[in-house]
Amino acid sequence: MNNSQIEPEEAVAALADIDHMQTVAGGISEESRWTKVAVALIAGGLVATTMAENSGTYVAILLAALVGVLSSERQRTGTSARSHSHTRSGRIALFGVILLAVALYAGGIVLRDLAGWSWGPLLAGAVLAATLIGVTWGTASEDQ
Amino acid sequence: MIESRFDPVIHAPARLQLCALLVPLQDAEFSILATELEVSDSVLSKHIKQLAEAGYLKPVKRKSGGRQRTWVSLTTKGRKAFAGHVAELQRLAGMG
Repeated sequence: MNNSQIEPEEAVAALADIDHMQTVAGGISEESRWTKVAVALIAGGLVATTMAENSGTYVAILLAALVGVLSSERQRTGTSARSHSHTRSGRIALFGVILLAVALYAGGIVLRDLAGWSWGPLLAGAVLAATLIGVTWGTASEDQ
Repeated sequence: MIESRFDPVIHAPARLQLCALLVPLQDAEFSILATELEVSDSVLSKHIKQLAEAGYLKPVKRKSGGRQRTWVSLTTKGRKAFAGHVAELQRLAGMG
């Protein structure tokens, strides 16, 4: 087939078809809200437990739980969404989450070691989890 | 920089839809694709084979829950060809 055989109307229809299928793909690969909550809690748990003594076991359990949650979601939807780290906005969001986690980690250590607040790490983990839940819940609401 | 190029392998309606469905995904299971594209398993297999022969798709068989399932993903070559085809369609439609 040569592109000289394609009329502009056919090109427009093909582009509309492409848009529709990409919307469908977004819908079928969308994680459930509970998966998003579970991932947010695990991320918060990782920030909180890495500050604990003998954190290795907790971190291993949380990482195993993360793998379990993601694997179960993949089986449920029959798809896995492509990472957004190849787009500019995706890289900015990822950098923002990493920066927030590092800041909360440092804040948790300061609270615990300098201010003597033993619940500092827990607070840091809870803030990260709450932020991630808020962002993903808000995004899901906007999408709907 | 995306090179605008009409691709006859991709342009067939079912293959165009299949590629468009796979672009935002890392991979997808065969039965999900058949359901979403509303085609029979044999028709989908034929299109996957044609795209795989062009180097655009990579089907992988994995065992899950005691059953063999086929997962399909676009290759880097397939993503580039699809992006080029979309750019050409946009040009033809007067959008590019």
